[in-house]
Amino acid sequence: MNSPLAENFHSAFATHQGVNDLPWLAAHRQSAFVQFQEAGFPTRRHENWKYTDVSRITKTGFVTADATHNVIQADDLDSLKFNAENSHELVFINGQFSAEHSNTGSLPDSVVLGSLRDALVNTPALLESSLNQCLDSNNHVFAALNTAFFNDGAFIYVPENIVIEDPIVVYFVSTSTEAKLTIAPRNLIVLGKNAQANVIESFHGLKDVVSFTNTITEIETADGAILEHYKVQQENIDSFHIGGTHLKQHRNSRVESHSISLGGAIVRNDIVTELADEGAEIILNGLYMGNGRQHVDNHTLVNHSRPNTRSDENYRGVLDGRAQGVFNGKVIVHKDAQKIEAAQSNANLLLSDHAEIDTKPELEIYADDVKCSHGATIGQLDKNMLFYLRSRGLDEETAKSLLTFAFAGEVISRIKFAPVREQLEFTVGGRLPDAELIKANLNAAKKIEAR
Amino acid sequence: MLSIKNLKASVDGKQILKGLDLEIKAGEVHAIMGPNGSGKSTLANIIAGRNGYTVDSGEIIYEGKDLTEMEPEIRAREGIFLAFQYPVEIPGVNNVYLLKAAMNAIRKHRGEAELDAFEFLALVKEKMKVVNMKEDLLNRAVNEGFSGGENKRNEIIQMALL
Repeated sequence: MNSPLAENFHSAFATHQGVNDLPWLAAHRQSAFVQFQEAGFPTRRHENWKYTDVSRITKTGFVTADATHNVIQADDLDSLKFNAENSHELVFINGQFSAEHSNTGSLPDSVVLGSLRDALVNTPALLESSLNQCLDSNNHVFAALNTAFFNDGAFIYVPENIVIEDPIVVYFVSTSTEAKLTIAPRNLIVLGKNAQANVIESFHGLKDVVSFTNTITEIETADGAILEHYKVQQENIDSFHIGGTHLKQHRNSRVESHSISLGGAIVRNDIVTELADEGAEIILNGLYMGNGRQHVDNHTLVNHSRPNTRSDENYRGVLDGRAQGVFNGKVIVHKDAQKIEAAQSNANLLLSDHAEIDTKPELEIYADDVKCSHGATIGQLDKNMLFYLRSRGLDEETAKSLLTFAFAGEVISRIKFAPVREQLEFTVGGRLPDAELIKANLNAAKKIEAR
Repeated sequence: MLSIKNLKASVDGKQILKGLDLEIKAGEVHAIMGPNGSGKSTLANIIAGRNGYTVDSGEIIYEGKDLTEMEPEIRAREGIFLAFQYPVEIPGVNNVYLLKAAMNAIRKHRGEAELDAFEFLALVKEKMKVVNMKEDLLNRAVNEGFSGGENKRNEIIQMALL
């Protein structure tokens, strides 16, 4: 408990946390902080943190961001936005909502889209009934920490039968090069019966920023609701990111989750879902790419609580240099949850002799009439494919880039929302050597397809 | 044009070619026949420069240049083309990307200007007619799910273009 970061949190909580909060929120914060104090930061002795050492984060004396940190140059912001013509945009600078840079566009009156902090003032009853309801902070200490300290985040409430066609894009940008900030965004997405929305969370850090983002998103989808949820993590290589997406899905609701991790020194994503009623379904797609000494850890947990629920998971990783990857995919089929389907696949490409992946599928099945599959692969680039490409005149680097890109493209191509997919194609292509050729080829292929 | 002199080559330390001589002049077509394991494929792979095939002695001269020390892509750019019996499937790599990347790599090597998308496409379509190849093969992944005939056509169109 005596790490510099824990001490900072301790004094921050003692001095100002909870002072201006609504009583019910102050109570959540209080009990979450107690949970955090009791558990402390995890060490590698914890099963869920066996392969990820957070001491580099906790040894750094990050300080909590405040309202003075709400500044960004318009150019800096524009450069990282998706090229989406029609979208509802929320922008958070160092965790602070920026009304100036946000544009929620036109929406039906019954929809709430904006800052969680504003919503606490304007629609407190709605939040009281839904905030902190999908979260098991006993088992997720960083989630408890987020509850104790979150300042703001996106609140998205789509009532019954409302369909929001245009995507909702939420940008989180870390900009402070002076103070090392810890930022705790808290997002809440509530979809009513048969409501539909597409939400993109995009995390960025400007050059030379060292930050620690501890983000939580809670999602509740009522009967028949449909959500496409993207999380794109491209903070810079010196930053730390720990994030959790916690879902509760009701009857016949369908969630498609795409989790893309490209940046960061240490990155950890937890996705925890409860398929709480019959017909609920989740698709989990993931891509993680690491180089240098990057460490990226993805933990997913799917609870099939009721019969006839379905999950389909497909995660891919590309690791180069001395990068380390971790994949832990847990599926629990609860008692009497018959006729469920759960498929899981994790494929990894190691590009160097020093890159590492620890991958672990975990299935706990307490029902007897289920259809479950899982598979994990770790491989290198295929020598025959490499030779084929080289025998056609491509140099070795380009051939490797193309094959790596193709491997990652398996996940990227599943992304339905074109601006995100295209930006990722360029970003991922750009991380590979000789990217210009790949980009040129992408453009050429697009032109050809367009004809 | 192609001159192979006293070529000795081995795979995994096992000698396969034991002193092969072959002269091929421009315009000639040669067929190499022999029983299984006699080294036909080894010869082709050696000429194309596949990893794992070691030239122990001898030389392969193509248009005045010794190929034996060249990387496979340099040989390809010099004009060597190995048509594969069973072309490898490469999921996720679009056939168009490969053709354009390969063509431009070769053109660059020869000091020619790279083709833009439209010149490239016109040329590809012209060659596709010649081998009677369906256009949708272009936008499919390289060799993935190709039939035997489609495989051969694809190899031929690559050869024609490269």
